[in-house]
Amino acid sequence: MQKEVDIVIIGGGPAGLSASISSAEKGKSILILERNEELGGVLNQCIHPGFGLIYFKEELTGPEYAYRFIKEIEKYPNIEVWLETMVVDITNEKEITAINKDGIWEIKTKAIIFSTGCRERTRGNLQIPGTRPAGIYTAGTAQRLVNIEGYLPGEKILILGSGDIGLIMARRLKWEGAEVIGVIEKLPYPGGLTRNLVQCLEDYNIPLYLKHTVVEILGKDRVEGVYIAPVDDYGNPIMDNKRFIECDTLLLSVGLIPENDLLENINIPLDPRTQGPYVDQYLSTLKEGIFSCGNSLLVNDLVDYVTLQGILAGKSAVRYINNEINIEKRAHIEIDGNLRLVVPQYLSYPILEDITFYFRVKEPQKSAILTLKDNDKRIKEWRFPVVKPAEMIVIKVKPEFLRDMENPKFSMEG
Amino acid sequence: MEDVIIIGGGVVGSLIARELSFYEISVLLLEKEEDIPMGSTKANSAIVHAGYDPLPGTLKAKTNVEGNRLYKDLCEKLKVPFKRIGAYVLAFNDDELKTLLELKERGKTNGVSEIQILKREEILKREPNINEEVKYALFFPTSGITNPFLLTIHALENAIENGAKVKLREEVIGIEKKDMGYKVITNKSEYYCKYIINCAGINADKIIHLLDPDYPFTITPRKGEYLILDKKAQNFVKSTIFHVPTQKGKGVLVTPTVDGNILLGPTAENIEDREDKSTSHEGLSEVKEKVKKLTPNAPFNLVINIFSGIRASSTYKDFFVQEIPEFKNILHFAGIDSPGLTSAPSLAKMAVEWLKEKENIKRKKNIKDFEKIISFKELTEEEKENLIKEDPRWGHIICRCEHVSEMEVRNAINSPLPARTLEAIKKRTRAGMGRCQGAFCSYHIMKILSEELEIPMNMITLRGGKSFLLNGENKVRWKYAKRS
Repeated sequence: MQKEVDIVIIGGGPAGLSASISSAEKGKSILILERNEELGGVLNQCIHPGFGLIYFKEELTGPEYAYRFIKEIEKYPNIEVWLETMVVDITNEKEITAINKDGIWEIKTKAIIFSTGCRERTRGNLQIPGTRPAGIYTAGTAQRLVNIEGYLPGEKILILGSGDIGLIMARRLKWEGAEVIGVIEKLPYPGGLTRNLVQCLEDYNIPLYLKHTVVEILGKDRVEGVYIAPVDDYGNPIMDNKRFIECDTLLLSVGLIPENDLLENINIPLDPRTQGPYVDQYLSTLKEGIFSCGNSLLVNDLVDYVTLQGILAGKSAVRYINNEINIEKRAHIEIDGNLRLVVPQYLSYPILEDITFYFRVKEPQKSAILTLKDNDKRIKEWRFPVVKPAEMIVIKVKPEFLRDMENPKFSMEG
Repeated sequence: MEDVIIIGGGVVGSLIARELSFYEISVLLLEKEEDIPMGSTKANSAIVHAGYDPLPGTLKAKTNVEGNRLYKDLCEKLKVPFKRIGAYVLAFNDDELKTLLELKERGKTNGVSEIQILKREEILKREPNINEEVKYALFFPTSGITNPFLLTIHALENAIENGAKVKLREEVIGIEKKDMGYKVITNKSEYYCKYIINCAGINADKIIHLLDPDYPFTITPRKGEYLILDKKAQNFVKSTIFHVPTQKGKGVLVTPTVDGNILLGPTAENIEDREDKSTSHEGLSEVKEKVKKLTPNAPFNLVINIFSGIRASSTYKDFFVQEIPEFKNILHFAGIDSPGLTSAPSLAKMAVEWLKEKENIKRKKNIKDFEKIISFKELTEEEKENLIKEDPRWGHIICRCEHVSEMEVRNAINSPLPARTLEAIKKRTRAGMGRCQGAFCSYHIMKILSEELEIPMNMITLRGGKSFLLNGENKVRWKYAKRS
């Protein structure tokens, strides 16, 4: 079957939702393709509060946050939503093949916005040795089981990785009556936001073991326990000091991987640092007419930023279709010092509006200075009392600071 | 009273069940686990070997070469993927070259066709990721890869379609000689039969010792650890890459799988505990080190899973395929280690010949072919459209990574050999085998299992026994049934 629309948005989570609204405002025909049975993405299972403090200036739960956008979409007759629809292929000519209960669809479109989110790293990715019993879950899967399906995965739980989902699940499982033995983190500092460390672990006396990792999983049918060991400064486990911890469940909260398999199929280059595509300030990938936003662009720690990226990608897609983006030249942005990643990675000239930059640092640092340079000439500085790998740095830069740069570079130093 | 009881639902037992089901006899297969295959067939390199390795004159050599020839036709009939991708055996110095030449001769004697000897340039031209220090290689174009899960499951399903019976979760704990034949005692029941075929794999010696505790045959289990790479590594190598073999076996290999992943391994470690399928730091590091020797740029950052399998090696140097004194009419297939998967079709024919010598068995007039849609994503667009029109659930993709449809999962449950566990679904459909390793689809599949099997969610297991996926009873109690 055939279908033709102006813009296709792949993924109906927070990024896709806001992208659809910002592009629909200009009257374009929009189609959202969503794999799940409902819109909202991972927000639906995030029933804890803490969402929207930046964007709505109030504290909402995940489903409440999503609902505000879902309700908004209903106002736009030019937004069509296809649920339980799986995109299986995409071509360089922006032809999308999708499957749903109505059949196989060939969809033609002028612009595509990727808002496909993340998947979680697994035990296999980490190569944790041992047996292969039941009871090993990624934190997100456990969250879905508890919050949406209404099932407890186990009763005596150890969590590997101090990412935000892991911390939130520690508290959630405790509330449901499970015994949460602790959270194990390989790095010398926690992976999640400070507010989650306080509200999810400290308030419930759940211990956090930094510089430790799980070195072996035991149990024939169901997890019976794990060996944990401290790690040295290079991250190698010190096996002589390993000890046994009895548990029936191991939750893994060990990182998210942006899902960009479809982009890779059409050879759109990905940034190895973000694992999302390289983009310019329009959130356009290096292939014109294809945009990216939200967690498939880079792993965000707040949904508010995801929303803002979605809005920008939606607006940019409309401008692209209307031939309002005319790029004269492009400059690649380098990073240096304690910076681990930057988005966008390119500047497309001329620059007409403020640009929001997102950064993450490699290591925690006090009194850090972020510097913008061009050919080693200092252009502007921003000072931060403290920076942490878990917390994204977001700055807005005015066009006059970015004018006609040859070799733009951000660096973070002490 | 059955004519034949087969003990064990690995690839050998299942292929024998299928061959025998084509005759006018009653066949019963007993399997101790929740599903098949669960032993050596489940976790191995999935290579259909050319036949250069076994010593000439052995049963291994004969059945390897014959089995390889039978594979193409067998896999077509059973709708199992099979690809003759060829295999290289690499030599890095002149000593190893000597071994290569010996292997070439051995291959010729064994009846392997088309063996090529290649020099460095040609090898690197064909497989640029092979270590540049390679000097020579043998290339065996007839070497292939297959899917051992599907081969075994489809073989047994085809046997069932042709009248064979299968009892799962029945472990043979005793065999008694009777006037008419034998009484086979399991943990649940008793069966009478004229003939027994022992295909108990890693436990084949236990069956022998049920008959004669002093019979000098022992399985010496040998563990092999593996790593699997994401499909993103798909074109890393096009053929199977071996190093020259050693005493302990064919060593670590790098090979594509029929599904487009890359498989690395195995180690070869003699172990005491036959059930020990754990992986270890040491084992995985050993695999990586040896893989680096073959292909230095192997992308270990693309590992999506690790596992280990156990080979049913034995004190007997060859496959042990014989009756033992005083227990006539029981044929043992024991010590079936490598190249067991390759040899299995040939071993199955041997079982038929053995029975034919004992009894005048007649081939059935109407033998049913295996007819099942195996993989939705491999159908043409038109075929897919038609299926979705028939039942819209075909258009609901449950496993995002491997593009498995809801109906594939339901069909796996409603099949002659029903999938009853998460792992059984995975073996049949590949749901959960991709890069997210089931993080997205597990609960969908658990719900479908619960619905189709009419059992509560907390009874769903990973692979039978007590491998319950949900282990809590303190949340929403009314949803749970008592397990005991």
